[in-house]
Amino acid sequence: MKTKSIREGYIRRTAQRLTFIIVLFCLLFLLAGIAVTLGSYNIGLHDVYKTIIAGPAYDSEFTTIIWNYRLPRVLMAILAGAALGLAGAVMQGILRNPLASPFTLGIASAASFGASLAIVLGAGFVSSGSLVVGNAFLFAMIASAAVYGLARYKGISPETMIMAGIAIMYLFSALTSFLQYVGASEDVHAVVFWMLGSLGSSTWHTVTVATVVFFVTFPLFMYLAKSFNTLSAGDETAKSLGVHVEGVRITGMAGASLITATVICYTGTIGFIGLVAPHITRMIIGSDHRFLLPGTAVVGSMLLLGADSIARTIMAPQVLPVGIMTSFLGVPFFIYLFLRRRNDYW
Amino acid sequence: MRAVYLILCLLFMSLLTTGQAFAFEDNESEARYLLSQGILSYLQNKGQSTPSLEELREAASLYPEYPRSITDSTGKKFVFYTPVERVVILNTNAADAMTIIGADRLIVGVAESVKEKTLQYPQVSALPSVGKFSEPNIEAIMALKPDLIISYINWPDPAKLEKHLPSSMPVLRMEFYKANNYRTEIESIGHLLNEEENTGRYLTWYDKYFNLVSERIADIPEDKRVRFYAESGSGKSFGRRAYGEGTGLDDLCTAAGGVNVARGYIKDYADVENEWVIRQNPEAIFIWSSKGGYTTDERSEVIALHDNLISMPGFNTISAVKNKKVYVLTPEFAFGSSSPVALIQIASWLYPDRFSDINTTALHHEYLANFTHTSKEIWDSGTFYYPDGKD
Repeated sequence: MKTKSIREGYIRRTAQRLTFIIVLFCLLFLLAGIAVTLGSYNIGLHDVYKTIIAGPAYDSEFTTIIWNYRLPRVLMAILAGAALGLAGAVMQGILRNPLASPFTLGIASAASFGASLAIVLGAGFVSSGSLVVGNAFLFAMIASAAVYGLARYKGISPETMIMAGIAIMYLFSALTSFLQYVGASEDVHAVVFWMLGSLGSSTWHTVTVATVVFFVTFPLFMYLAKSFNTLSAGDETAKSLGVHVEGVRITGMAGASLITATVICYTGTIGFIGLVAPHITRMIIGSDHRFLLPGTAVVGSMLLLGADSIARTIMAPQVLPVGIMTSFLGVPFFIYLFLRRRNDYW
Repeated sequence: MRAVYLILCLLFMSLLTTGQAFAFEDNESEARYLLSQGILSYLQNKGQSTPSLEELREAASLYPEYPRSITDSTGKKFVFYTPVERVVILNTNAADAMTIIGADRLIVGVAESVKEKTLQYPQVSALPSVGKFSEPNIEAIMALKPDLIISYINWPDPAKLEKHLPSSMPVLRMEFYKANNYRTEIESIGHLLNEEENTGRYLTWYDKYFNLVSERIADIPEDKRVRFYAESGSGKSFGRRAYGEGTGLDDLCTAAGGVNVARGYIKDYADVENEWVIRQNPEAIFIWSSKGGYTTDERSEVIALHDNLISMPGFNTISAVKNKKVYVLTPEFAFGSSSPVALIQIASWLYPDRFSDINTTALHHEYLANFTHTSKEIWDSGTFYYPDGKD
C-alpha cells in the first residue's frame, strides 16, 4: 500500500515536472513568436509571418530584416540562454556549489582576455576576420584546461576545481585590466562593450555553430544526469553506488566549458543566466537533473530572449546591453521565488 | 610696502566699478582690471586664488601685457600674472591646438597618446611622458614643474589630477576638437600664451572655410538637406554604434549641411539595430575610424570599415550605399585644427555641385604645409579619409 502511494507520488511529481517543462516550452515558442515581430523596422504581424512562412528566398522588402537579422537574433537568444543555463546547472551539480556558474572556472575572464587581446593589440591565433571570436573561444578553453591541470595535480574535487578556477579567473582578470590600462580609449570602450554582452552580431553562422554544440552536449549531459544526482549525495556515496566520480566531473566540466565558450565567443560575457536559471528551475521542479537540465535550458532561453526583446525595444531605437537587462529582469523574479520558498531547495 | 599697493588699488578703484569681468576690449583694459583685482585680493588675503607679492611685482613690470585671464570649457576662470612657460598636455587634441598657435615649444611633458603620434608631432612626441590621458602620473607632472596643465573636460577625474596638484599648477580643461566651441577655445589659449599673431592667422583661415560652407548651404531648406547616418566604426565589437546630437562628428556633418537621422532619437552615442539603419534609409553614411590618419600601415583597416558596412545584408537597399556615399573619416582629419578641410570635404560629398570648384586634396595639403610640422611623405601615404581616390 505504502509502496503504491510512493510510486503514485513519484509518477505525479514526474508528470508535474514534465508538464512544467512542456508548458514552459510552449511559452518560449510564444515568446519567440512575439520577439520576431519586435524591431526598429515597422513590419506588420501579417507581413512578419508571411515572410517567415515564404522562406528566405521570398522576394519582399522585409525578407532581409526578418531572415538576416531578427530570426538569427531570436534563435541565438534561445540557444545562448539554454546553453548558459544548462552549463550553470551542470557546474552547480558537479561542484555541489550553489554559487557555481559557467564562469566559475575563469572561463568568462579568459574569454574576455582573449577578446581584449584581439581588440587592443590585434594579436591572436586565428585569422584577422574572426580574431575576437577565435581568441575568446581559445582562451576560454585554455582556462578550462588549466583548471583541469591544476585540479588534477591536487586530485579532482569540487574544492580543488573551485580554487583552481578562482586562481585562473584572477589571473585573466588582471591581464584584461592591464590591456585596458595600456589600450587606446576607443579600444577600452570596445572591450567594456564586449564584456557587457550582446546578441547584435548573431548570424545564421553563429546560430549553426551554437546549435551543433548544443545538440552534442545536451544529450551528453542528459546521459550523465543520473550521475549528477548521485554526486549530490557526496563523492563517497557516489563511488559506492558505482559512479566514476572523477570521470563524470571532468566530462561535465569539459562539456560545460565547451558550450559556454561557444556561446560567449559570439555574444560576449552575458552573466547572470548561468547562475540564476538553474536556481529558478530548481525552486520550481526540484533538483533531479533529469528534469532540472531541460527545465533550466528552457528557463535560460526565456530569460535571455525576454531580456533581449526588452533591451531592444524599451528605449528604441537604442539597444541596451543585454547583460544588464538579464539582471533587471531576472533578479526580481529570483528574489520573489527565493522569499516565497519556505524550505531549503538546494 | 602695503601703502604703495593701497595707493595703486585706489587708482584702479574707478575701473572696478565698470564690473565687466573677463570681457575686455583690449589687453590693457584686461590687465588693468586683473591687476587691480589681484592687488585687492592680496591686501584682503582672500585665500588660495590670491597672487603672491612676487607675482604682483612681476605682473606690474610686464603691464600691460600681463596679467591675462582664460576661462576653460568647464566655465572655470584662471588668472596668470606672469607668462606661461612650461605646459604639460594630457591629450593629442591639446598637442594639435598648441602646434596650431605656434606654442608647442612651451610643452615640457605629454601623455602617452601623444608620444605614439611620432609622424604627426615629430618634436613634441619626443618629450617626457606624464602617463595616460585618463590616468596621469602625478609625480612625473610635478617633476616637470609646469605653469599650466591642459586636459580634456571629462578626463581625468579631478580626483586623479587637480586634487594632488598645488595651486601653482592649474589644470585647464579644454576639448580642442568639437566644432561648436573649437574656435573659442583656440582664441582663448592663443591669447593666454601670447600667440595672438599665429592664432589670428589660423583663425582667419578657419573662418574663411566655415563661412564659405555656411554661405553656400544657407539657402537649402531643412527638408531638402541630405540625411546622414554617422557611426563609430571600431569594427571590433557588436552591432552598430550610432552618433547622435552632442558628438563631434554630428556637429561637423550638421555644419556641412547634413541632417542626422538620429536627431531626436539619440543623444551622444547609442547602439542601434541594423534594421533601424535600413529603415532610416540615409542618403549619406559617415563612419568614424580610430585607425588611419598620420600612419602608413592602417589603410586596409580603414577600407575594411567601409567594405564591411556596405556588405551588410539589406544595406544595398540604402540610398547612401546605392549611390556610393559611404565615407570613413579619421579624427586626425575631421576633428581639431584640420576641421575646416574636413568640413569642406563633407560638404562637397553632400552637395558636390555647390563645391565643385574646390580641390579638397590641395586644401588639405595647404593645411598640412602651413599649420603642421609633418613631412610630405605622410601627406601622400596617410589615409585621412576614404574613399580618397588613392586606389
